Amino acid sequence: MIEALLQGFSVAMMPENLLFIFIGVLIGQVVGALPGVGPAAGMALLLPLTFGLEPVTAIMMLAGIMYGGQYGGTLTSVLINVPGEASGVMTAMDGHAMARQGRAGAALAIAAIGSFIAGLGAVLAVAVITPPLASIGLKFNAPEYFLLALLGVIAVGSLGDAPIRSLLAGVLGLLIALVGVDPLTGTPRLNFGIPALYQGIDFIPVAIGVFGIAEVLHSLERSEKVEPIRTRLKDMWLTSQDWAACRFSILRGGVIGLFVGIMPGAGASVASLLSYLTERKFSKHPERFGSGAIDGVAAAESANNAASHGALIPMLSLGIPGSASSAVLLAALILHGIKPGPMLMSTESALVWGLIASMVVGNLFLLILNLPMAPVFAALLRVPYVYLAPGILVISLVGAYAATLSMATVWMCIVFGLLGWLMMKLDIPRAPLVLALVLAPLMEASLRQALLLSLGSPMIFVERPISAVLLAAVLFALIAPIVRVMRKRP
Amino acid sequence: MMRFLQAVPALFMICLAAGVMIGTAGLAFWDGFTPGARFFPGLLSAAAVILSLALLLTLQRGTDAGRPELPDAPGARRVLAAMAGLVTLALLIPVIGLLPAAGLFMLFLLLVVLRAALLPSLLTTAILLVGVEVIFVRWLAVPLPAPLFQ
Repeated sequence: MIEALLQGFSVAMMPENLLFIFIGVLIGQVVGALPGVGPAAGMALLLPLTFGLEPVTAIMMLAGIMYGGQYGGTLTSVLINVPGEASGVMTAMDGHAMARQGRAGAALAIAAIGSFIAGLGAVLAVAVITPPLASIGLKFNAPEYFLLALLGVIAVGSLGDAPIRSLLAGVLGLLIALVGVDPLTGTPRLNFGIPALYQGIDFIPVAIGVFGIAEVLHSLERSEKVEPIRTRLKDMWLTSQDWAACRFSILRGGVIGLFVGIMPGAGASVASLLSYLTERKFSKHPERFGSGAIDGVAAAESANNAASHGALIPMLSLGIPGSASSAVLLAALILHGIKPGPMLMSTESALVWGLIASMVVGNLFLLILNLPMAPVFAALLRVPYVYLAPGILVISLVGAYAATLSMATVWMCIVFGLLGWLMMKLDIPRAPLVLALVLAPLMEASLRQALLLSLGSPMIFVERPISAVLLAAVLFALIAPIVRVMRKRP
Repeated sequence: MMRFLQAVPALFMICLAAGVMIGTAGLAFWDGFTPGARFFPGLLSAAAVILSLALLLTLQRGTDAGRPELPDAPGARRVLAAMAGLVTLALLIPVIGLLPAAGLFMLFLLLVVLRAALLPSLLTTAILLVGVEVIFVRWLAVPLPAPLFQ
């Protein structure tokens, strides 16, 4: 492992890669700091721009946007009390309370340091856990892959307080993926004779529309101007009491974030919530939580950054994304001609280890960007959003066009932008749709191959030990939340 | 009204499932020992209908946690105007080219829809167009749609 990691560092430290890691984390920092543009949207928007790059460079840059977005999101949470992402909600509770007490700098500093420490720990875990998990993945066959992909879709839906709505979003994503041709026989399917649909619905216009355009449309509804709380460099020094209060919070937050991130579907928002609640339980002064507890900020931020790294473990080892952002990263791998799955570790060793090493470098860049330069990024929040929103829409459409050189993609972006906005208005989560769209080809092909192997008998899913375990997990993830909702009293 | 909005996703998915079943009517569900091209769409349509019915049931029992939220009238007007602008932009691109169409769209959104000040709007539009030209055309060599008359 050490040798492979060193090889990864030699790839990550190449000047071109260093430059694009820096560009990636910088863009991540900016999109995270802009209310309404999260890391998944930022990655989807930038994906077409990476086609001219080497795959390893492109993936390092996109991953930089993914974890950089977690750092950037802290700024909006702390300074204007508007979490850019759901994972910033817990940070906003105490971070903004600290800012109102004149301690914005300390909140930003502990968030950056906590994210950095937890991020490094999570990168180490990615390096340690990914190879053995990929070895287990090599034993997988069609039934296991089908169940794993199904678990990925269902697990996203099973969390939260509206699981049926999330599951419906997942099914919608799978239905969208049916358009085009049947993957096994090549028979045209659901393309209604429209030439633009013969190749199916591409991932890029869906992700750009559902995340990017929908977010901008949503933000256009509000016209009020929010004035961020100002912060200065000298305010960012932490006191010894701050350190004492936060050291174990960072540790606990990092561990919780990592494990939640590994679980398919859980993601950074669940991680920060769980970590915050755990910290409140451990705290000697739980009454301070919600009114400016620095350990609450440390726990939530450590957890969301660790989770965003942890989500890469199932993605790199099994080809199953654990979050919307890692689904975009998986799509990027496919678009760059790389086949994800357990073989990735052996066939694209330089890419995987280069990516892991790049995350160490990227986290270091982010620490520098977020400690001395936090006030500079905070100034970004003073740019009125009305001047940014139209530009984001234009870049979304130009990026989508550049990906396929087809106007059909532009139209799809607009349609999916409207769909994404309607989903937001009707309180339907969008992440399961995108995750399902990415997993759909694997799911359908594996299901049909499994049934072909068993001559049509569904018993193949219970006869094989690994698939039986996975089937039990699928059934639990499916039934438990539905029963929970059904038993709920009005 | 709120109950209807809460039910919209379920009704939409039932219609979509019906559409999928009609759209795949000519394909085989099962082909000898092998599932056919209609097999997976059939399973998904069934899942969509079951989940939709479950959602309607939770609505009836008052246990659905979904909270639809419509924009106020000015917000809805801005979103509709932005959507109309996007559609017009897509229609104009093949006729006048991408960059001029994008410039018009920016000015429409900034000046008409968002009521931004003139000078910053012109500056923002200029910066964006130069950025698109430099990144997409010069750096990435993407052949952006040119005007019809060129």
